[in-house]
Amino acid sequence: MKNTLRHIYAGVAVIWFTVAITVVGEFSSSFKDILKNLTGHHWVTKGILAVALYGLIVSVAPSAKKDKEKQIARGVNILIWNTIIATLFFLIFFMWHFLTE
Amino acid sequence: MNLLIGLHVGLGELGALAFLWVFVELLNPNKERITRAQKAVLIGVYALLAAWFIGGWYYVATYGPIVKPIIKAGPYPWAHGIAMEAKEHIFIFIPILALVVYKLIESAGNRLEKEKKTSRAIATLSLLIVILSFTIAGMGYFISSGARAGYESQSTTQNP
Repeated sequence: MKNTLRHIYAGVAVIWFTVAITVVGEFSSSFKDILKNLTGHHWVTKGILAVALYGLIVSVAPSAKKDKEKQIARGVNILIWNTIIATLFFLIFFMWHFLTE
Repeated sequence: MNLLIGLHVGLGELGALAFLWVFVELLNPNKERITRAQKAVLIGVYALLAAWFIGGWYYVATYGPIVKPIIKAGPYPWAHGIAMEAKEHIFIFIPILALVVYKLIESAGNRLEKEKKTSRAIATLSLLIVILSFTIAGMGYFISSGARAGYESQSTTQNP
């Protein structure tokens, strides 16, 4: 397989980028306003930035002539665990945020 | 009734089922199963991307200005504060994960027959997409219930 690892790295980066800008936006109304003003809605901006970051990393990440099977399987498992942790983080974060609002 | 919600839910479920199909095909892949997984992943990616756009359109045009204030003023404000907030952000992950699965299957092709570790990892990632999709569909149930309760309490207040 060629250049598939960069897609996995891009997936992990997008997940934590989304978490980061969401948390910062919940604590800083001026940052959330910037996100909102870019497209008219903070969620639309986050979606566009997520796709743009994915495309950017896939384009610029170092390429390998051939990715090894072990690396790909390990990378996919890392992506799976990062997704699970980020999903649980969002659930707990928004529960906490709602209860302390 | 709102057509956009129906399309959003229908396409989301179609995408989830397509990734369930990918999961099943990759459990024990051979050439025929890999060919079917390649078709299923395309259906899944297009369906989830369409569900993303349509859901986003409804969220921005209708949910935010009309439904959200009713839920927040109703008896279950957590339906927005927790369920919708978590759903809308987890939803950003799903099409990206779908694109990664598409790229992995397209790039590996028939080698998945021999590369068992990779095919199992891609199958697991596909299953995660299915679980996340149905989890956020469940959150949609709480949001709809919150909106219905909000409308009912509003009409009770206006017509006691």
